[in-house]
Amino acid sequence: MAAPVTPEGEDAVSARSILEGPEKAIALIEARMFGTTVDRWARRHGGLVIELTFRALPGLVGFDDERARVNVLPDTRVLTFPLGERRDWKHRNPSPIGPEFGHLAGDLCLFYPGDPRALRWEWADGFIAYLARVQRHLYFEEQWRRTGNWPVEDAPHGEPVHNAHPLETKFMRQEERRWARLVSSAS
Amino acid sequence: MIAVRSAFAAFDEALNLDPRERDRARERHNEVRAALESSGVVMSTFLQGSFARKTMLKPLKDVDIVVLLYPDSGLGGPHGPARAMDVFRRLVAAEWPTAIFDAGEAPAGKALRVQFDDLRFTFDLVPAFEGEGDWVLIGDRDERRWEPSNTRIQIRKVSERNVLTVGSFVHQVRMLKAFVRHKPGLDFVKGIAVESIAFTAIAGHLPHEEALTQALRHGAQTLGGPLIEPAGDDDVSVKWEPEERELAIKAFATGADQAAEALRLQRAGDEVAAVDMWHAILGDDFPAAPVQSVDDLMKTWASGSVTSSGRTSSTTAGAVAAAPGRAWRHQ
Repeated sequence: MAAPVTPEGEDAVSARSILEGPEKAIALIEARMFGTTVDRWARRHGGLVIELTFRALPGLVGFDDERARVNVLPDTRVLTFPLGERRDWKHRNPSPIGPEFGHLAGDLCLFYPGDPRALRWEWADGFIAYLARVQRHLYFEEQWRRTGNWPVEDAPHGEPVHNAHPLETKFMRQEERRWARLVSSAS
Repeated sequence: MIAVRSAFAAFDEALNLDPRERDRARERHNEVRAALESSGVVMSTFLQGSFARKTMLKPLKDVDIVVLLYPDSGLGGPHGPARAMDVFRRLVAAEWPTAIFDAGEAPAGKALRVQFDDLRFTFDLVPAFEGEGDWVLIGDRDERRWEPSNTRIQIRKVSERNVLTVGSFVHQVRMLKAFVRHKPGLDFVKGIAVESIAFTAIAGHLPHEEALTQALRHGAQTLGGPLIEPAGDDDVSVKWEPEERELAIKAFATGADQAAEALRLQRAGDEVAAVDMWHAILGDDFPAAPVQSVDDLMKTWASGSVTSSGRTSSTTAGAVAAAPGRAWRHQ
């Protein structure tokens, strides 16, 4: 039986479906993603703003719920801002207003744009796959705060002088190959 | 590591009637039969209902005994059912003076309820005459009439199906009943309705996990229409309200999706996540998977999937893919 690797199309919630019919897309998100609720949503200048709560997975004993605001812009770019009290963040852009504002209005950096396709999110993967990355990122940040370690290989900040940051770990190289195969067989 | 098959074996064990209680029920049935047959008006008796069909979930609450009367017993006609029950009462009281009759709920029209002081379950004695073929005529003291019943055909059909499935059918019916019992608001889905769904869905020998997945999907797809019991005569969902029907369809559809996910996880090699899914589907009678450690969770979350029960898996078989990626920051 095929696994839902990159469930493209309406079922995975395309850009068009989320912008044109948020109610249906939201119902699907809540039905599919464990412990995820859409607290509120609103149309904004041709785009959409969604606020979500991600309940901690049962194995994350002692972890709190996480919340985020996700902006789907009219040009289909997606930005995510964590909600809640002020905290340290490892992979969140600094405030666009100025360094004295810390991370205020800074969005999460869910993936490195220079990475191979299998490691990056695109709309073809569906909006649920994007939210799944948001959910995971929020809890990885909390694990980093608790242990000082990011649970998996992350990319160095900023752009390298030449090419892209290489994959450093055997795990990430192996998983990149596995998902490249899965994505190509699913499409 | 807990495996799906062994978890189902433990689940099956948890649903079985207590063997000592089951034996005591059979013994008391034989004793009651002997007491009734001594009267000369009772021809024979047989067990009916889920106890007879071996599809009853524990705890054992009541045992139905159909009491077949001789055609010339003089107990026919509109007053016959009430008179027959009066005869039963006197015969049982003579043998068990402490027995209590029709205690508790309002007396049922079709049965005399007997509570023995040494048993925790009750017996329902149902007066009947032999009918055409395998049919019987069941007496109703409230309606003052004898109504045809296919109860014996139901028993035979379920027994035949159980043979066809190499003995797994009745176990799978009990499991499906446990699913319904675990879902809030499905009290209106009676045992015979669950048996009827299973009967049309499970026609051959299948492992429990596959049979249940098939039965849940079948329920989701067919509960919009009539639900015919195993003997093939009656729609046992005829009294359901439209909103109840919708609720049942939704519960079965969700269960079917989760069951399909559990099968994917099992086939992909993550038996623990599959057990966790079945626990979510079937409730606390099904063994729980060990709690996932934070380290294991983080590791498998990095590349794999998240199940709809909230467990991470290194396989991609969970409901939501967890594609790998490297978090970053542009400065």
